[in-house]
Amino acid sequence: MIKVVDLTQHYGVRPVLRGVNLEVQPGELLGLMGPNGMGKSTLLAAMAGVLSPQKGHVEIDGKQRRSSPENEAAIRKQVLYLPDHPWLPMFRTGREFLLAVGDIYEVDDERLFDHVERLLKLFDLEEKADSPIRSYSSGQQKKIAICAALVTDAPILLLDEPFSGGLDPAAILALKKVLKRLADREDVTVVMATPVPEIVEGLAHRVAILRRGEIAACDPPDGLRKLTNCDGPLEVVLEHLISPQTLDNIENYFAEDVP
Amino acid sequence: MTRWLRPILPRSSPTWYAVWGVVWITIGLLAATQAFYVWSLVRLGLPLWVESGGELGETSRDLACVILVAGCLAYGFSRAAAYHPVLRRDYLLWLRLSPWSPGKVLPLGPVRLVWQDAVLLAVATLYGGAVLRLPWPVVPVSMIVPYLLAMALYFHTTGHRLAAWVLPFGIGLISFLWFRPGAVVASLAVLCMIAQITAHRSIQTLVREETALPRSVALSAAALSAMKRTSTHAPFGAMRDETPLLAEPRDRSRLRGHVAHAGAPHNAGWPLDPLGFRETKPLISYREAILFSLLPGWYVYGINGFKDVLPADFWGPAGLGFTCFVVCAGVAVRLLLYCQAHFPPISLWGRVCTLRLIVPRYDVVFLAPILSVFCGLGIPWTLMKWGVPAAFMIPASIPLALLPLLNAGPSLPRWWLTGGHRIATGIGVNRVLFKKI
Repeated sequence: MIKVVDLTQHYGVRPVLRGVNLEVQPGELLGLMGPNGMGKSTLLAAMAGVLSPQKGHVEIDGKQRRSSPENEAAIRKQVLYLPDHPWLPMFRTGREFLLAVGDIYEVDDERLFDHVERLLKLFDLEEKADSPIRSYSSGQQKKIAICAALVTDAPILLLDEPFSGGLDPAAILALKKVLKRLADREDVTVVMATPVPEIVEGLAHRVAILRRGEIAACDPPDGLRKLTNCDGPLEVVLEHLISPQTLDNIENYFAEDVP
Repeated sequence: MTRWLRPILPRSSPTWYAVWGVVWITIGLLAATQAFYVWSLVRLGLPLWVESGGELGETSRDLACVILVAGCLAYGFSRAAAYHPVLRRDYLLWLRLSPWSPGKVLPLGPVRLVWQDAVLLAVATLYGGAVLRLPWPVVPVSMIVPYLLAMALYFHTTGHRLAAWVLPFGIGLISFLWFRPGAVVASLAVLCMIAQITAHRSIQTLVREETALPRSVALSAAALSAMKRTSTHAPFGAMRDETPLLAEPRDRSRLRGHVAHAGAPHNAGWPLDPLGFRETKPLISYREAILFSLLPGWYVYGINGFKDVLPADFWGPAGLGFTCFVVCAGVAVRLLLYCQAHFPPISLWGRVCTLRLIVPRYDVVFLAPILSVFCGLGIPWTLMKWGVPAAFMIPASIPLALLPLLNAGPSLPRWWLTGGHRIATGIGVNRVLFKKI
């Protein structure tokens, strides 16, 4: 279980997160949504241990992050963080990279070699598997980064915009199915930040809305509909929650158009 | 003759070729300088077998001395580096999987000193002493000391810590015996014997026991391509079935380690590499840190062995400058290790604006450097003012400066795991090998 307690994070003097409290249960798939620059990536980075928040803390399975070397080492083994723009080893082949990541997460040998093969096949990277990553297209680089996240077998996945970066429709479909299955059948906890409501709908068990550095709502999609008294698609529900002025802005834009 | 010299002659190894290149260039340059000297004497009409004692003769002799000493240093290091399996992981892996046993001769060449080395040493010493009029200990020391230091490193790697520390401290003792060549030779002989005995046990440990190899050791191209073939073209299971020696899980794990790491510790990029760090124990024990701090101080103190030939104010300004350099370099290395890619949670501007000038969870990283400056510069300076001799205090300042840097908390793993920092890409990511996608 992930527990975020009173998390506050500043960049310089600008507060990005203000007293955020959040709990994610094991096997839950949580979508993090919110306007740009409202702290989705910051919250994920704090959960991942990349950031040290100015106030508050993060607990993973009852252990507080950075509280002791033993706790932190145990947490790091449990958590996989895939940022929006990771740095990849350009001169390694995709297969070497995946093996290295599996090695970092101490995945069993038999499982690792087999899993690498299956992931490469799933994301249509078999032909490029033994080529250096620098020769991959940007979409293929994103795919290999996702494969690296999945090859770890980590019980907690923190994914920052995993569906962006030029993934093709087949890869998006594959990733959606894999994440759903991991959460539903293998009790993997997934927290993902994404700006695309269509992806979250039907995939996330709950959606947390970040607005001005605070959690504005955290409910299942149906719960959000009830909260906003809106029966439309999630996209419209989110507009009400995230930026209620957007619809008015659109109206104003057309109304003020000089013919 | 060639056959007899074969154990110490070059083999097909890039390192060996490089080092032997230096040795042969040394010999060539020596021959050239001597030929030039003789030619000059002939041109000037001076008799060949009478020492000129002039400027030309001195210059030629000095040049020959420098070349000879450089060649001896290169040879000494090469003898330790060329055939040692710890530097050649493919060779080590082969030794581990072959029927080779520690009692047998190492296939590539000897790591321990052999009679051929003694002959070479004797010839070089005679040439240096009799022809070039070098002090007698110079050639043996410059040939054996690099060998012993390299062996000490290997012993440390394989866990033979006693010998690993006795050798470097023993080398420091030689400076006090410098003007007694017999004592120098005797002490070198004792140190060589320790190295000979321990080398056998060290290689045994390395080959037959699971000693973790230093990740910084480069994996040779042969091993890399072989491992790559394993991972890309052969199902791992099939290889296990075909190769009984790899049936043990630890062998398979080791093989996978070779494939995955390919000789480099960091190869998964950011943030996988920094977040993949899970070592909780300090990288250096307190005892080792104390010994490591004392060693450079011991070497500097050894300069006192030459006090009869040193200028009267040797330990004056130059000594203080040296201490300042050591302290600054130590502090810089520690800060670089701790702070590279582990940045403060709030910028300097943020600190000023929020009036949080001190962030205790991050600023703890500066305590050890401050303590080092105080102990390494402040204490010696004060004690020297009170009359403690500089010849003792300046060497003592080095361990005083290094001790806090090596021992004061937080330890590097504790800092990386629990420090109040943000893990940034920064200079922690090699921007040539890694790219942001």
